Amino acid sequence: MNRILFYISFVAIYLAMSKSFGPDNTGIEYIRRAKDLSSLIYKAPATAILTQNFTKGYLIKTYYQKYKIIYGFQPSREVVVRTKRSFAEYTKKYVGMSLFRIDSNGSINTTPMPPGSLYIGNRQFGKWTFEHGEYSWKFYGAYKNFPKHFGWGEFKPTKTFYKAITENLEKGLPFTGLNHEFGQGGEITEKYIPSDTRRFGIDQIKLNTLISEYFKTNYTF
Amino acid sequence: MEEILDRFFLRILFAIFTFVLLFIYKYFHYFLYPNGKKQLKKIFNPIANPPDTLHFLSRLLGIAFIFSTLEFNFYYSLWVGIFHIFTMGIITICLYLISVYLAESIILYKFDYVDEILKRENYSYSIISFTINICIALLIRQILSESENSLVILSMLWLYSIVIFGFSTKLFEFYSHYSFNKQLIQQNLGLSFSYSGYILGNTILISMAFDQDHYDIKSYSLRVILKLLLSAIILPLFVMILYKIFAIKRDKKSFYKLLDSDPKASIGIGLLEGTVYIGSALLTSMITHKINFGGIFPYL
Repeated sequence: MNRILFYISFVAIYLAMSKSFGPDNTGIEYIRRAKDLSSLIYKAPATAILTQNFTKGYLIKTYYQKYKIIYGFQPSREVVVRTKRSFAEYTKKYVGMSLFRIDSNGSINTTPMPPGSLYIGNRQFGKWTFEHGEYSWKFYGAYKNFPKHFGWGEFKPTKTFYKAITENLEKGLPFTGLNHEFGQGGEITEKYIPSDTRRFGIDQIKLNTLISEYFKTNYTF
Repeated sequence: MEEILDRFFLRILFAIFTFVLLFIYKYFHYFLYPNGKKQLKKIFNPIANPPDTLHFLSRLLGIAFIFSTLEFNFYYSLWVGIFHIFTMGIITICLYLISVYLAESIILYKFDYVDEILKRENYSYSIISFTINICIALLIRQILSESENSLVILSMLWLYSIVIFGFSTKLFEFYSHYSFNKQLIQQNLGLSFSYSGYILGNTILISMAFDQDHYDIKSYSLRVILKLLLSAIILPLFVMILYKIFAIKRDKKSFYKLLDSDPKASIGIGLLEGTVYIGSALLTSMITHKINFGGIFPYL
């Protein structure tokens, strides 16, 4: 009995030491919900765009997310955070979208929105221009790289798009674009955030493929 | 041809240089171990006292193990290479002899070389001493390769490894049914086999724990401890499973009573314990050090 207790305490010591001193998760923040991203954002205004969801581990999975934080007046940066399973599952369909926004007044919004929605309509960053029979948003020269950071490609937000954003924000409903351009399966997200960087875990390999590839790689002369 | 001859003569030169180091080792040994005067000052007769022969040869084998890790580098010049190898040679000789002295002081603190080897011809003592010398050599060899020619790292790792090794030797009673001091006095060969297997197994695990990338010493030291803790968790499982899988008889009530009374049975039990421990340690090292998790787990 004493030996079993000794052994169990040994396992406990090992796990506690690994948790405390192990280099695995040092420096990686844990978030439970999108609002927790505020601890990673130093300056307002800023938006956090979810770019990747991934897991680590075979038997017991740990969920990670990669965010691109785009500040209004600071260089953008990427952060990796650890999260809980339910949040990772919930946000899977909002990859490529902004999950957190903080405006110049410090008010936070976490409704999933298209990337860059925080800066559309804000006269500090750009202006509405009339092109091809409708108004579209154009960033000033100082912010000309914003569309690239947001992964917009050729997309130009229109006033209708902006209106839809405002309406959905008021209602607190996620908005994936007028024609579902953003998020999982969205045309723009699929194009500018390639799906292989958005895969959730390890690709599953069929057993017969594994065996045939193994023999082909190792035992073919 | 000139180049071939040049290299050939350099090799001969360095072989001679190694002879010089061995000669230095002999006299260092004499200064640190005045008791071994008989072994080193006079002509050694290997048939006069076989336990003494084993003891003597283990020291030779140990230093040969360590010297085999030293490297002659001519990157800058011949003299820099010679100076480096001379310095490292002297340092390793000192480390080895001090380590052996410390290890013997920890493990064999109740015994004396003159009494046990020269007077009593205690085979059990000489076998244990042989294993200690080899284990220390293996440890020094490992930390030499880890230190990457840095004296600061070498001294820290040496101290660290000796503390861990010394601590591990004191846990023998948790593994074996032999009473170390009592049965060593009785010249019990079984004890020597069991203990040899035990410290050799520990040395394998400690050496493997030190075999890690190191960028900063604090994180490295912690990872060494974590590897050793992990080994201490896995090893008993292997010991238990080896007994079960190979259906090795181990009737605790009747079996271990024979340790004192039956020398033949004692040798059998000693061989069993020693071999099972080494086997388990090797299998444990496979689990703790040879599993590459790829990108799934970044470090451990």
